[in-house]
Amino acid sequence: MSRRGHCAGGEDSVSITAYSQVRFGNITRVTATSDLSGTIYYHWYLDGAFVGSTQDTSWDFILEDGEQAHVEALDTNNADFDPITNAPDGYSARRTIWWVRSISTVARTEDVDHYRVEQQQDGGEWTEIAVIPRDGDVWTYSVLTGRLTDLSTYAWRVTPVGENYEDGVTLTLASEIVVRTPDAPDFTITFDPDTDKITVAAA
Amino acid sequence: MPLVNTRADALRLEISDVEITGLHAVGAIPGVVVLAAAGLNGPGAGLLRSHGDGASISWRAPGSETSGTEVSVGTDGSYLLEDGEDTDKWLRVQVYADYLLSLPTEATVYLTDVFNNGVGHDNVTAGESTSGNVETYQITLVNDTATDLMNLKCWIGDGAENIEISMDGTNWYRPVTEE
Repeated sequence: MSRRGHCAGGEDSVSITAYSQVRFGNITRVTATSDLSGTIYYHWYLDGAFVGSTQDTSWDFILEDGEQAHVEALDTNNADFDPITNAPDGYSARRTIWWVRSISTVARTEDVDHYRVEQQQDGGEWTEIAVIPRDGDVWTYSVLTGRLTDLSTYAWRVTPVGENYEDGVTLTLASEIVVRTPDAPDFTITFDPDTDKITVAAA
Repeated sequence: MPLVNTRADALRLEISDVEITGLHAVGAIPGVVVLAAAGLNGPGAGLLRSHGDGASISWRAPGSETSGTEVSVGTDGSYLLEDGEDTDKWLRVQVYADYLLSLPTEATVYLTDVFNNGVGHDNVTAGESTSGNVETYQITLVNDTATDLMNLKCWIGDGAENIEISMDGTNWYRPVTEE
């Protein structure tokens, strides 16, 4: 699920020399090894989407059952390295849904119990993909979607839900078509001892 | 202190009365919501920072080494924050003063491209790509100031091939320089 990554330019950057991974249930911990010394900043990407920065050598990814994912890390000594401008090329299979806490009078901040995040595919039914409890100390929230279907149109909306379980004002994001790196082809290989032929076929 | 709807924020592009934004902004300090980011910021990671007692804030665009002038935001409202090296790289923010922290704080603001935002228009199918396709769409330039706009010039920048401009929908031109 991972591959060798590299740092995109910069005189103080060199290649990641190795990756290792350990899986705990649906959590996969990826660890990168760098040639750099001193303070090293790692910038992590999942399916081409920037997911975060660490000084730790590891990042935990939550993957769905049977999911294929593409992980890359960029390493640098430069604290001002821009992980967006220097992001590796990629067509992400995921989106980060990000919003600011509710301050509406319909669902007042102190009355909000949780946020409901929903997703719509190709104009179909809205499906709940996450419920995020309110945290009074948090100004912004985010949810990373699951892996999205290539060439489908998606929309997302976030609704604050009050402690009385009434919905507040829904924030709907503009829909967008997802163009992502296709899955690796699924295929079978069979060997016929009578003819000594190997047949490769789509599964 | 620059106000919203002034300087580089004075002119906006709209389609059907909806402002076109070229960048998504992810990240903010408590009490601040990013409403829009100038396209010149480009994709990248900028820095939104509050100072002193938290009632003044500044913006440093991606790639810039200098934060802009601190803007006092002690009351609720919309504010314009400009980068310290290029004032055309601005953020338009909404401030909720009660939620500002009473101490210096900062947040990285990640700016990423917006696709299907109207300027990019619709998606090109494989068939359209093969056979060729002409798309026409109308963009409105909105002057949000009280100052009249005179002698407007519009031209097409480098690297934008196969694009023409029309004022009347009949006669199409391809100006590539200001002259």
